[in-house]
Amino acid sequence: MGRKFSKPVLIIAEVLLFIYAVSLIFPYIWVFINSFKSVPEFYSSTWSLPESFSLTNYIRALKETNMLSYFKWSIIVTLVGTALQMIFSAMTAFVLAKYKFKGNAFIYSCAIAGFLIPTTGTLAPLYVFLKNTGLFNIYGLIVMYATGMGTNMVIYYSFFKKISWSYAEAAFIDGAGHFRVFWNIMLPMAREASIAVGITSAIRIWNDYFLPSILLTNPKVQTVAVGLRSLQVQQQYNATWTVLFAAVILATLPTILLYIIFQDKISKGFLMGGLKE
Amino acid sequence: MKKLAKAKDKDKFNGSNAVKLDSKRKDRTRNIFIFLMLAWPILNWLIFTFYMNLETLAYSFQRLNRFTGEMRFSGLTNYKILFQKIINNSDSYGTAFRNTFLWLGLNVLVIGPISLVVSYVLSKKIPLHRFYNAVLFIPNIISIVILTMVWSFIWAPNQGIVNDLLRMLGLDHLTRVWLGDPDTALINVFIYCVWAGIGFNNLILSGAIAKIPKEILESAELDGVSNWQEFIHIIVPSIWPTFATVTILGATAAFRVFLQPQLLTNGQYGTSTIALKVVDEVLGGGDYGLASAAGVVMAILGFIAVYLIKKFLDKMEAKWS
Repeated sequence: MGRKFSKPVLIIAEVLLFIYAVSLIFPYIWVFINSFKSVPEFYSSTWSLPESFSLTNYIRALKETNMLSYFKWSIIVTLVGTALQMIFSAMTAFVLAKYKFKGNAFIYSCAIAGFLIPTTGTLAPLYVFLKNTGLFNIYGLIVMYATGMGTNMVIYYSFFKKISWSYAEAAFIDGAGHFRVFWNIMLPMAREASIAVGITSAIRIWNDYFLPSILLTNPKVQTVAVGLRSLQVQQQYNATWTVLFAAVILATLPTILLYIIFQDKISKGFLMGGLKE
Repeated sequence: MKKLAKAKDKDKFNGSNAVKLDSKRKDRTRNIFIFLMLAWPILNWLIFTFYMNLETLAYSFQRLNRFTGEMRFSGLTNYKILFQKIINNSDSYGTAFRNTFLWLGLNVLVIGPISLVVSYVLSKKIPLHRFYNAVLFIPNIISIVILTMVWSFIWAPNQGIVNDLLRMLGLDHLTRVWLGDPDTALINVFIYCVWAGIGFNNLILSGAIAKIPKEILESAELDGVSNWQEFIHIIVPSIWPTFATVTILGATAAFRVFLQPQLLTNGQYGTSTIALKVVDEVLGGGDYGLASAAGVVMAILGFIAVYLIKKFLDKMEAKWS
């Protein structure tokens, strides 16, 4: 820990950090309180407690706004996208880390170069490509999530490098094939990497906005992030803000609850991903 | 399993020739395995990374023929249009270009150093440090759509939290349409980026500070160093490689920034960026050539900037080691 702070420094630090922390939490409390008010009540006073904790806005948010459908599609996209990203990243990393062959190092450096180039600049050809190939939908989104050469691969790679090959040799003598060695022996040993990759990918995909907002043009097939954004845009004309507040709380609550329960694992996962980039 | 066992039995009788055949067969299954494992990941990379980048470069030398809907080679026309737009600031291209570099400064010179100080302070395990660490990270687990929405509730003109507070304090004259006023919009979006951006850096830098050997800090404490000396002479040099990573990540991110201004202000009131211009041209204007030229220029400038920053960071590291 080293040298402790003197009293005045400590007080200043505490005050500043406390204000910052409150600024991060308070808006959700404000949204939460106002989500129970009727629209006129909200307009007359934004700071008072609601007259009654009626769930009208929540019921309206669920009934009028497809919230349940948004959740359904977010869950589907996140589960499928995360699973594919994990499997393909692990497959690529395993082969690159454990098999010597021509082009191995080249493929690895291609992967590194790939995620260093800013992707937004390539939007025009991507847009045309997806339109022409009939991938301008949820399948295109899944295909784009199913990468095996991104940062996730690098996390797996460093794990597989550390695992001794003697386990595989023993299995080969027992007659196991390459895939069995990968799936039944090596992948379970890289469990920590799987947890890190799984958690961070799931959070990233669940929260992703840009790609789904372009590709999911069918209003019946939209994720929570995309749906909420279109709700927000609509509110500028309807001005039924309190319903939007209820929708925001519904969309945030699961994430916050998961974060409270798995905080250590989530931070660890992000720490691993962040350092390997 | 049985087949393999049988094959092994055969080898015993047929001698070295069979062993060779067997190892050849093994090589083949090994190569097929490598191929099957890499087939999709490489195909995906070839399409979405390699082809897209190459095609962007090609598009930047082509213009869309509005009648035939085809892209035609047009030399440097797109680049000429782009530079004219930047110089004349038409469609606020000049502003967007400037903002991208302001963002570079913000990420590298403001958010990085603030995060470093925050993680140093929290490394002292001051009261509530666990709470702070947990709360500061919240922006990373919530979608940017909700984050920017909540931010716009804070700064909304009529029922917004900040304007309400100002009115309560009798400071009505200070109330503003914060995100809809060219004087405050850009700085407001910058503050949003600081507000939402410290948590991630703090996590990574805290991890690095925790790894500094205790003995070093303890002996320095016995020598009577001040907090400032400890920070500058022990903490910063010890975690410099991690700080360099954070800085590089911030620098690369600066050239991709577009969602924050898009979601907060629609890129209006002087908050646009080059990346947002690319998005607008593709989704709104349909000018693929110009968008791609902007994308190429952005990538080249980003590469040069990141390279120079990396050089500087490496030089500092060499000085300390």
